[in-house]
Amino acid sequence: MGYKIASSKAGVNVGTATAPNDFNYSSDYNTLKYYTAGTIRVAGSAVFPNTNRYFGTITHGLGYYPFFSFFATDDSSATNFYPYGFVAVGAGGLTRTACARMGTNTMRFMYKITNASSGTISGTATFYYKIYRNNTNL
Amino acid sequence: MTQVIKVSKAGINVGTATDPNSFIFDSTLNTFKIVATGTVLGTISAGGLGNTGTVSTAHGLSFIPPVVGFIRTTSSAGTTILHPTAEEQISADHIFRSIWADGTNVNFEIRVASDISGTVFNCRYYAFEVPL
Repeated sequence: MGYKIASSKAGVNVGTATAPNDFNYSSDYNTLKYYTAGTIRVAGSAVFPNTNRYFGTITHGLGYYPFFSFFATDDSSATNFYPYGFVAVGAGGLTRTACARMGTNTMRFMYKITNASSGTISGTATFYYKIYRNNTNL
Repeated sequence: MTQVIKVSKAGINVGTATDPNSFIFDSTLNTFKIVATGTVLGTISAGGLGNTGTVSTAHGLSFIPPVVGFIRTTSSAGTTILHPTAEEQISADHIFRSIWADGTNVNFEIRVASDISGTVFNCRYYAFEVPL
């Protein structure tokens, strides 16, 4: 017989419940374990009709590809938090893209501006990232 | 009297704290439980700019789960893993579209942005509880 720790939701019998959704916590199921979190800003600009990419990098040092998440905002609409980045198409063919990739020791963020409009367009993306200890084993 | 299990963060009084953010663990608060995880290999054949392929694997659950996934790929920029939501990732060779789950499978849609040879993608998904 295996032993476990479980905490059921209010009104649910912890001794008889079986569905994962009946528990606040059950040692039968893995959870995400925080490692580190932070913020990084990446600024850039593009002169018509160019596309430019700008990068920011943080070091996590885990030695493997960890589970990660992040939200990104475009400073032109700083109240909108987009999970795992965004592609924002603006007036006149202006496109801003925010995304990230993970390595075994670093995480790199990219902010791309495509100016299909005119003049010079500038902007800044802010990335709010969380890295977990969970190894993706990829 | 309801009994609970709580572990507070360093320097915080576990007996008096009320902010959920003060705890490492609180048995009264639901946790994000990983109910299934798996990997699948996918190959997108060469076919020129914009060639798209879908890679699928069965999740084995009786409901449609919320899913998060990552794809490992190797390009001229090195080997990295990426979450397939943004239109374009760092490498111009690979553009990821999306991940989604239905009642049977977890699906990854991948687009190859340049005319390159068949590329193998290693995909991992995590399925969480709370059916959609």
